[in-house]
Amino acid sequence: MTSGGSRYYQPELETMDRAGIEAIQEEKLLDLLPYAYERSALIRETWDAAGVHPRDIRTLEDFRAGAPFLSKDAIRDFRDRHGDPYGGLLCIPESELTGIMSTSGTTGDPTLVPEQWGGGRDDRAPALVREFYELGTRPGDYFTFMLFTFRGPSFAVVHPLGAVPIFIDHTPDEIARFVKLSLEYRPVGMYNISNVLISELARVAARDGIDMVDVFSSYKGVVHGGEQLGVRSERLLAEWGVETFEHTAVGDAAAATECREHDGCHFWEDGVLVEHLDPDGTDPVPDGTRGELVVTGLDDRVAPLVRYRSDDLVDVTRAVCGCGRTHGRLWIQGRKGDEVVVDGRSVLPRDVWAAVESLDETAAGLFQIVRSDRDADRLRLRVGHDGTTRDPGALSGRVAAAVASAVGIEPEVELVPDAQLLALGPPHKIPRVAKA
Amino acid sequence: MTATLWGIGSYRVGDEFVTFPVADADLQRDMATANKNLATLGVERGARALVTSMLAEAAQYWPVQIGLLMAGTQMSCADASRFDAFRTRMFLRGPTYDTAIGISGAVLDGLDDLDVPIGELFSVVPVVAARAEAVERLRAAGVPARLWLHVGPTIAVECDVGAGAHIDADEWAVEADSDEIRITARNPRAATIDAAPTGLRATVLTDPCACGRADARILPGV
Repeated sequence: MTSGGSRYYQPELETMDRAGIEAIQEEKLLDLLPYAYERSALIRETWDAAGVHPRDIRTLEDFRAGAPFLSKDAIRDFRDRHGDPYGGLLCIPESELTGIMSTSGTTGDPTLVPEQWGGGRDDRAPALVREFYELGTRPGDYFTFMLFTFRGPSFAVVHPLGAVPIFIDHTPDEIARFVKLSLEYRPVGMYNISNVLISELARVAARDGIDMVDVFSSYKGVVHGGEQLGVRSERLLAEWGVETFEHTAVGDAAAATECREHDGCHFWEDGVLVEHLDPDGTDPVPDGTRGELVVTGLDDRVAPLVRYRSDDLVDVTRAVCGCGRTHGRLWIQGRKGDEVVVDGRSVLPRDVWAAVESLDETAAGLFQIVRSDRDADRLRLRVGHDGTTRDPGALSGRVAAAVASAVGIEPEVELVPDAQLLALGPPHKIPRVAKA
Repeated sequence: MTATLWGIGSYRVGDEFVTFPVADADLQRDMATANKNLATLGVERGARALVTSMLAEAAQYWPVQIGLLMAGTQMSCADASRFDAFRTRMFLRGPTYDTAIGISGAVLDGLDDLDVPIGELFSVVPVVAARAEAVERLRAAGVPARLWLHVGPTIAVECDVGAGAHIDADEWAVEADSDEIRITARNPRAATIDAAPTGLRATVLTDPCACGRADARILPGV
């Protein structure tokens, strides 16, 4: 399966030409559509309402031209109308499920995710095996898993690579143990780091005189995901000699991760069909422009998402990467639900992030966009501060000026203690948008 | 050597973590232990179970999760943390569960934060297996919780007799040393575990249990 000394875990699949990728996609899609239509009540309802039948779809082009869309709202609506906890997506008898998991719930109430372990998938590499091979994981290596959830065998992805996982909870309380185990086992990789952990690492390093360059010296790469790293976090990691790899979900259907070229997150197109469409329409948008991520999970036989509008705003390219891989790459821009439009100007959290971090008192980068609707008369921000200011009014003015300089809109700034915002989130991030 | 390792587990002794390597062969035996514990809880094929645990506890809980799958159950997972208590609430207010495993004091704290009456929430679950710090709180709320006791690298569980948590005697020997439980692995493992302190203040009971399990029971807080 692997390629000896090369950087590819599955060289033939990872570097196949566009025609080969689309042939795999078309074969899987044409197998999936009648299966899902016959078994998924929501998909059947959606396609019937649109007057489209799977027999109308004979090519990828037919699908892109005429298949109707699913959305998270449609799934929740079906769930509420029918009392179906799986939102009409389930394609197998409930009695055949081995697990009932859930989405994170960071963008609303969690929804149930039905699972059938060992079923519903072909023999392609599970998510992250190719990525961790690219990162440099090899037999006998140790690999740190510092995750905020334990819901299934996410750590097991290093077992096919012959590596050994180390388990640590993703919380600032575990920093001392992370340092100890890193020095003892000298792991080659880490999944996952966050702004919250990096801030605590810096604090502990300063307090206890720990050499973080030494702590991270064995790591060939550290994966981060969930939310972007702030400028301060990136600077600290660079000082510690850490190479980071961005990782993101692909619309609840797959995952995407940077390679060592750091030029977008690869999504594996032999498992997911990605479209990149006008957020307010159905037309494709060109590579390199902000569009909505729309996904179809090609291998899922339990609860497949078919043409699912993810609400994620992304840039996409299918140009061959510098690493030689031919699968598409994406850059996460934000979520439609996180966007506020002021005077016709789109603002996402990442647009104001660096400005907030640029001031010492707000360097933790803790802030929220406060909005009631997507369109707003003014930009409102709730910004965390470290409590060192003696003049909150002046600090508000400096934050507002920094943000105005970055996005061209003068915001209204509400200052709150950092701890108040940290208390809102899971261990690795905070909600970046709050309802007014 | 490391090629045969499954992972690096840990357990807490007081404020300190003890780290221990787990070999593939260790995991197989831990799965057998987990199966005994699940049988003690009465988990049957077709049942539905909620497991609350943390990633740092993977060495103790992965055998439980695999055991549930092999037993033909449906499993849900939530973190045993204060923040993730909303997920425990969501599951228990949704599908019907036969067993809830590993309920922690942090989860109960989180449910308190959410103003969830724990007696009402857990009353719909026939078997609730809770950690030492949570079991009395549940019982005080009217939930007949069973003790799900972390004992260093392994877990002991209370049967329906309710007279202490059984520890798998095929794998582990325990003794009380000045009231602290020390644990010894009976079989070779990747880690040397020989009279290892657990930080657990308890009594070891060796008299026969009415449930039929012959192995020793651990009664904490004595």
